[in-house]
Amino acid sequence: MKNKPVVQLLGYRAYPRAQSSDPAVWGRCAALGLALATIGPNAAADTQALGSLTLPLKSRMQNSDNWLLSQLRQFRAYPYLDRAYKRVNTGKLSEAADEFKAYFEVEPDDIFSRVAYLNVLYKLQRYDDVSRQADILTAFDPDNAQARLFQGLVLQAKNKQVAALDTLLPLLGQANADAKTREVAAATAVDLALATRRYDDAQKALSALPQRRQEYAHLMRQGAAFAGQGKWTESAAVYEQALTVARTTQEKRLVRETLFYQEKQNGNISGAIDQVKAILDMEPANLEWLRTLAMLHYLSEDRGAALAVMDRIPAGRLQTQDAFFRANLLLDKRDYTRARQDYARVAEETTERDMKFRALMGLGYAYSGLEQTKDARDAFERASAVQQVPEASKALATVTKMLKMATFDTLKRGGPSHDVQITDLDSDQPVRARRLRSSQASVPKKTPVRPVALSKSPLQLQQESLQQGYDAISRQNDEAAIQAFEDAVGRGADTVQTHLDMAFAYNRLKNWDRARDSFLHAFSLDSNPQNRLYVARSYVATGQPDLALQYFQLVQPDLPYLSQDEQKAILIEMGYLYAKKEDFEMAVSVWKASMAYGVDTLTLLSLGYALEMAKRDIDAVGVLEKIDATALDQTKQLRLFNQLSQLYEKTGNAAQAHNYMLKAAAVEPAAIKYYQVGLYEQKHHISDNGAGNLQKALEMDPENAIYAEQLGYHFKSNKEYHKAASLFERAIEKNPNRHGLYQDLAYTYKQMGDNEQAVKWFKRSIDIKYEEQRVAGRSRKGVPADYQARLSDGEPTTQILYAVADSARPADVVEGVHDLSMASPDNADHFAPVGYHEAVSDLSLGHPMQEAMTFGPTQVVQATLGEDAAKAQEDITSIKHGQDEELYRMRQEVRELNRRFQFNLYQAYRSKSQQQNVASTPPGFFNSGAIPSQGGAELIYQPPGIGYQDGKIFQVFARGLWSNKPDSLRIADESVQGSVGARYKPFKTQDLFVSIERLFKIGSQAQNDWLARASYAWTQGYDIRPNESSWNQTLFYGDLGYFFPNSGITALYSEVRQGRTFNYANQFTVTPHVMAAGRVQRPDPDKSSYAEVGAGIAVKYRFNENRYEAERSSAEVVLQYRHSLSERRNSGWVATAAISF
Amino acid sequence: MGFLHGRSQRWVGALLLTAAMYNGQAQGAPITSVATSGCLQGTFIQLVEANRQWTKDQWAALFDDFEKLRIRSVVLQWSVIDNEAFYASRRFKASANPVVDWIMALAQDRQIDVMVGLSHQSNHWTRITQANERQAYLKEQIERVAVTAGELTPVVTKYQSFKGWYISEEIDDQNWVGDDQNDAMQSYLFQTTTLLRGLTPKAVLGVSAFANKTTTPGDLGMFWHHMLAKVKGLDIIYFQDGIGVHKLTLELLPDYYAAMHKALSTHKRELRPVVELFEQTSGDPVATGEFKAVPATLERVQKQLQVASKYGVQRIAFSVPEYLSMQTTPDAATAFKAYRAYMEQNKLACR
Repeated sequence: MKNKPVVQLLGYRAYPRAQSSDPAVWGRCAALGLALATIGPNAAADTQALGSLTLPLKSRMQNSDNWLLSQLRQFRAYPYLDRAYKRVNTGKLSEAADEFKAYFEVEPDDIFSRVAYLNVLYKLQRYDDVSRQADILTAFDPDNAQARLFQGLVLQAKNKQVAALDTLLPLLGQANADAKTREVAAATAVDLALATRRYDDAQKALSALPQRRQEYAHLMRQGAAFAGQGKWTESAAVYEQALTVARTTQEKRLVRETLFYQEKQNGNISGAIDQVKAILDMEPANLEWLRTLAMLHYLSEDRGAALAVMDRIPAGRLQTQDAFFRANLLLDKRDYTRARQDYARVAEETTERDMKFRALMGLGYAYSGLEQTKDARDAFERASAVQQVPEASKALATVTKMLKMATFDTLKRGGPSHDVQITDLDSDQPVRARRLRSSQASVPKKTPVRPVALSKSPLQLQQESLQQGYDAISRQNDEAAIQAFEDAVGRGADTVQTHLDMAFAYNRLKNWDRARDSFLHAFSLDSNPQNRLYVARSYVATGQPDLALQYFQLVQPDLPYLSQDEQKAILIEMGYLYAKKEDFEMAVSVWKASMAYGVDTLTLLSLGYALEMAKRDIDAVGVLEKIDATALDQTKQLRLFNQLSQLYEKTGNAAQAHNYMLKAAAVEPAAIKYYQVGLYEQKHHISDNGAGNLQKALEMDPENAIYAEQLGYHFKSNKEYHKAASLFERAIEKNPNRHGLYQDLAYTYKQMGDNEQAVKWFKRSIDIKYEEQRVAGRSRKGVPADYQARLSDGEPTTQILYAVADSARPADVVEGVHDLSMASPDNADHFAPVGYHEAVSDLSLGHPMQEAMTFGPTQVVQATLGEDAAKAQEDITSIKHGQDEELYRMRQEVRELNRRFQFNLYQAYRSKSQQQNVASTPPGFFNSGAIPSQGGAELIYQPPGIGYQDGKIFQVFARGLWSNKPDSLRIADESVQGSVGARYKPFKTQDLFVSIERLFKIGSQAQNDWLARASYAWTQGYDIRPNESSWNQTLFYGDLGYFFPNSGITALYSEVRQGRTFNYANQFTVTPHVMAAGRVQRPDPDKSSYAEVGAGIAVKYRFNENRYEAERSSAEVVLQYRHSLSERRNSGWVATAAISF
Repeated sequence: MGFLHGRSQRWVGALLLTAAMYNGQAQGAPITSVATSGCLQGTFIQLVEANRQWTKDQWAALFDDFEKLRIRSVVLQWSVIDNEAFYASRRFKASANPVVDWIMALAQDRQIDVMVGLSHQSNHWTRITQANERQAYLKEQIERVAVTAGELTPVVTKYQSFKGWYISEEIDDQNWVGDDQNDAMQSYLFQTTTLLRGLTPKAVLGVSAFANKTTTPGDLGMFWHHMLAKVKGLDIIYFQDGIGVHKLTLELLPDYYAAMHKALSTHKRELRPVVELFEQTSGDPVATGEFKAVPATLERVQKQLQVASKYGVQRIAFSVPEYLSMQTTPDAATAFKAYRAYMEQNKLACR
């Protein structure tokens, strides 16, 4: 079965057929010359099934398998092959191909069957697969002629005619190619050579065909080749010879048709007439050839013969345009009766405006010729209604005048109803009618209207219109030219050139749609490469890139026939179109292809851009680095340097990115450039962190608040606070609306230790925040609840947007803009309205606003609103909380900066207490955990200046501590302990206090001693979070004390709490929590060390605040149940109350 | 609105007549007339989401049904709907299975011609009825057609089953009658046909049309007369008979066919009647709710075919897969068996 030939299965034709007998179709072939038109059915060279090709000597590829393995493999593969041939025999080729494919997976070495497989694939037109299989064969045997043949055939099928021809031509002389292969190759090459107008190659291929010189198909091709070479005599002789060997009527007719076109092309009308007559002898009823013959007679000015031919067309087959043509001939022959009939029919049937006009005019002339003047007037009036042109007006005026004269004669003869007739005829000109009535003027009665146009043929009218068009173009009157060309088309000049002329006129008028339609008309008449290009470019103009690309694609097969410059231009244009469609891979592909025609910097720039957009940054850098920047103008240099800078930044090469930024700045030494460089240096810690370039930018543009601000931030981060503050103040002076800067200036002064200035700027910032909140909360006109409905109704989004921005609350504005931007994401105008920016400003206070300014409005929407409404609301809430916290934080800063005195008081009670001094102070309250006590009072003084230095605190204090009597709140007098001391907080951000205090004895059990202490607190969520309903609270407190010199005791107290804080009106907080605490003392003779765990609730009330300062005072009650982990200590309830003023 | 648009895929209902009843009716009819007028030569295939999951075997079984019905022409309603393609597309979301390829291959093996549909947007009927949207929609649509045709050309032209292109828009008699609308549609069709002709010079180009009772046959004929005078590239007009969706009645239908036939004959174009094989049971204009339909009775389909056969050599069904095949619903299977019995009984020689 394996050696079963594939013969006669497929019978494909390597030669394209061109058998149409339709002259119109043939006419379209004229652009390619006569070559293709003369190729008839190709019986002689028609390719046989490739199964009839002889097999190469080596029918199997070499395989290292041993005999047994080889047999096993063949055994496994055989069923596939068997089924493949069966499928082929039943015509199910796609299934056969599947079987072949499966077969070769098992048995890849069978060359014979692979040729058969090639044949099946080729028949299925799966050309890519054919190529792959042919490649497999040529990989084994580079000179495999059959594989080469199929490669050529595939190229032909893919319309790559030049490449196909170049592949096949070498086969003609290839020694190892068998005769059949050479024959198929030669036959195909002939057609390809003719199609690509390589007539010398066509002759060469023809000569390679065996012994067929007297065969019809061979002669036809020979004739085409001679014709292509301009050897008309030889061509005609060969065609005449073909006529003698033609066996069928169809073949003979084809020869006649070819000769007809040759005669026509050579301007030999009489010769062409002879050929058409010969054709009609074979096919007397062929309508198209009858029309052609009539037209040829007309062109040779034998109108009688033309009319006779038209009369041969049976009435039932006479089309509208035939009737029109015949009517014109009849009118010319003054056969008014028949002309009237034909014109009437045309006027009724046609939908073409100009033809209708011409038919009605002709009808008028025919009536006139028949002396039916009223009917003539009616026809001319109808014509005038179709087209307002001078010819119609003139004819109408003439015939009307004739009618009046006729009536006047009747009047003079005393007709019975003359008054009425005159009034009817000229009712709007009674004076003139009366004058006529009294006139002695006489006009010859019943003279047929023979206006000038009557004597003009349709062809002359066409020519007139065309001439008018060209005259109008020369006068630069494109509107008139277009009108004239449209007239010409209506009069039959429906030619490529007329449409092109019209298209160019529309182009000059920038009427791109009309221009495109005209180019399309030209293309539909002749799809030559130039017209495809015109259409492609017209679609570029109308903003339809996909269509443009399709037409550019249509040009591809013909690229080799265009100039190198044009080829390159096309590829470059395609690249831009692909880039516009964001198909950057394709853009890269065509731009790279364009490089084959020469490299230019602009294309390299574009290629670099496309590579970057295709996320091929490294490749983009490679391309852009090839560009000689010195050859570019300033704009392109800037573009190049900016792009390289961005690419290097993306690829992590900050040094090169910086380098190109500097180059860009050198090309365009503008303040903005140095500013950008400065920012970049700042970000990447390059050079002097941007100071120099920021300074330069500011020097170049001293009025620019942003530059001053940014340089200020540089100095601030460099701890050069004085310079920073000065620049911030300058920036605020230039742009008082930079609200975020007030706060930063305040912090700068705080860091400088200039508390007075810090408070001043904090207060100004606080004032601004309050004002912003007031604006944010102001009542607007109403919520634009209907914008979604308006959107659904198709109202333009921009229109709705302004309504939204004008009428909504800030959150609604931002939300509305977000929705609208989703509705039409490409419209950047969404972010333009003032109302939107106000809304963003209203919502994005403090740092969020800074971010907003950095990212720009689109990103603000994305950053603050996210992609859906729920997320948007969440983000807006988050922003609001951020604003509230920020304001609160500033008020806390003012409070701390202004603090002088503070008084703290606490009292604790513990049930089942075994000792008086068992409870500790609330952690972090006033740092007395190291000394066990149940109650205490403390007065603190924080001196100005040294008391608060950018978060570092110095305080002096005096305090008293006590314990209570058992099961009572009464102070145990003997326990009262007094002390004075000073404490210092050395770190700005860490709540670590160190202190030294002198303890002095008041009660009998108190002591005189010194106490050195260190206390530390770490909290999260301990402060109020304005307008948040609840949050997590974590607290750690540690207190280490050393009593000396008398006691020599070291004590450590520590406590941890974890709870959830609930907020009520930003004043009350309730914090249920769990806790653990412990105290260790060394030495500890009383065994007073303990550890305990428990749970409780803390209620805190904050008060005593003002506009600029957060609450200075608070009252807190903590109730806990503590479970003792020590044997000597009881578990029980502990209640603590504390007040701070 | 055309029946081909948005048709529900929920095939419910039952075929009302049994095969025996069909046979009984058919026995009295002359064989010759039945043999020529009772045939369906083609069918639409309207690709829907569920078809993405079909295996090649399922498609093969459907095409086997086509063979049994002597179908020789398939009109693929579209190859892209919205952003989803049924082939390996670069621009649109490609389907996992090469559905279009399979259809072309199966058709080729059975000598069935395929008119390949292009692009459809599910909001088509909404957008063309909005004056401010229509122009933009058509401009956008022709771009989609360009992309689709550009991508599909190398896919489908390698099959001998490729006959031509089906332009997926359905031209109705109400939305395009005004001058501006008419110009817009003419321009769209002119551009589309010119492009398709440029891509595939030998391909046949077709589009479908339908009418409402509110338009007179004369006006419909004139509408198409003018349209075809301007759009010379169209070869075939598939005229939907509207019986299933109740747009026309069997009494009115001949006049509409005649008007279309006259207009198309004048311009030498081919009319292919589209025979609706279903009976709409819900959805506009029958009732509110989603479109639902059941297979039509064979008696009704016979009448539709008899009328259609006077005006078109090829009658195209809408559509065999949903309403006359063994592969989709029990109702369609019942209808299929009945129609096959009818063919056997009357010795229909449809090829």
